Amino acid sequence: MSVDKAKIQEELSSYLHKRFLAKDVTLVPMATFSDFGIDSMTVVELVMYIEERFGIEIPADQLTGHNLKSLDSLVSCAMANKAK
Amino acid sequence: MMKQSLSGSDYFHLLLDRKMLRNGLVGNISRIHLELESATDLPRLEEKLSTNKTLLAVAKLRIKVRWPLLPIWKQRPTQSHFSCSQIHSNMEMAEFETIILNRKVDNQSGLVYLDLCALADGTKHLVVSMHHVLFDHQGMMNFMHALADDSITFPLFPKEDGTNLFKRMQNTLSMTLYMLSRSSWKLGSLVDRNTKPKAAPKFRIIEFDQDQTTCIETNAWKAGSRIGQSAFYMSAVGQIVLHIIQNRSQNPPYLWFSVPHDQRRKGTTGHLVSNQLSFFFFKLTPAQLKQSAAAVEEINAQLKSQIKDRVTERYEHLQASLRLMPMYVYEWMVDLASNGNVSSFGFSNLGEEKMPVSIFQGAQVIGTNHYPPVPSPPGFNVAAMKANGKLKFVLAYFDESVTEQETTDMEVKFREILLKPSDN
Repeated sequence: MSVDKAKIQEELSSYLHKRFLAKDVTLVPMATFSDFGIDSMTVVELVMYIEERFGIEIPADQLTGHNLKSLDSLVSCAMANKAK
Repeated sequence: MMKQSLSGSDYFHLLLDRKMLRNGLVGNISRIHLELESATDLPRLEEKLSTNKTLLAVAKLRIKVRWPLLPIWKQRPTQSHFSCSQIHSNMEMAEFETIILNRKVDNQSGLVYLDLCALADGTKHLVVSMHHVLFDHQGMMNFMHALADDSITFPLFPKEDGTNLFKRMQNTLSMTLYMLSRSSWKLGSLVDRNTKPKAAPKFRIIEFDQDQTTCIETNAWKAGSRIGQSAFYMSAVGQIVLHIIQNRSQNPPYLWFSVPHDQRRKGTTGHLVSNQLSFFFFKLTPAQLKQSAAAVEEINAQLKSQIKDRVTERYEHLQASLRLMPMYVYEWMVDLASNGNVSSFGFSNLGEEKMPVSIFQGAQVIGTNHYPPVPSPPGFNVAAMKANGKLKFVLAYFDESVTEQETTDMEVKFREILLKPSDN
């Protein structure tokens, strides 16, 4: 599947809105997940979604707080692994 | 007030309450304890609280169970005087622990109660006792914020879940089969299911400084806990519980426990009353609990599998359907799965402290403690939380489930597991 960063970000954002976010909440990609009350279990689900939907596996040693801080950092990490 | 049904997790908390009352406990009650500056004028504080609109609304709430219809919330007519608080003067710490931290609240006289205490040592305290049917953790935090500042308000109830009926029924059926296929009949337990605790629960608070917290988080990473540290903490609690059980010359085939997961829509502070919780379920064998790394790996695998199976969403729908069961049938079903033992221990990770209430109605807050309810069984409950970069664990237990010596052993082993690198 041919995907770019914007596409992954858009789909993840849409998934987050559908599954987890309250109506009228605008997800800012650079804002931290914790700013939105998004907990670690939910982030696990996002990582699994990226794996299933886009076939991009993020290695365990890259699941760092830095990479999982925000939608933007998660998608950047996914893109870095897509290229491999 | 519009007709609002109890949520599935509210009804589950009523079930826990029923079991706790039967075992001689005061019920399924959470408490938040604020130590206030010693100059606090308690009568003045009580007077201010008596006009707090959020408190007045919550204090009037009652539950009406009306099987075969859904249980609902109702509000009692306005009371002529404020009757959900009390001031205590010159109180000894022992009295504070046995009376205030064991305060009963119930559907008869009210689901929330405030104790304002001046202790003999000159310190001032506020303890808010809340029935767990009222609030999940976020609801409690919202409530505390609204009590602290009259200008802060929240919607009283959540909006109804819009999931269609067919999907709910599908989830209920599949989750029933899922739970039955994962029977926890032989789970290891610290307490016999029929034990009736004679006194209030005890609490031991284990605190770590910032350096120790950093060390623990590094160890969690080394042990394989990747996203958050919960798996590492769960493995540590599992190890200390198994350690005590095995020291009693018992060898259970596994420990079984559930971990609550917040189902509120994210991005807002949300509503005040009604729990929106579901659960993840974990089963760990003694072999898996020998090392943190092995336990964490197994927890991660079970967590991923349950996320894939959408267990929390489906379990929430199962809980919602069980509201239509009379309580004794519901209890029978829960007991059937766990042989009446419910779980091996309770665990919840409250995450970063969400209650930076530093000023409460004008009074400075010196310290905050959260005392979770302690159902028995399992008779042992651990809450993890982090504030100002420091980790804190509250161990809650009864004399009948763990002795003082065993609790000390647990604390020593717990610190060792968390602070030592993962090859413990």
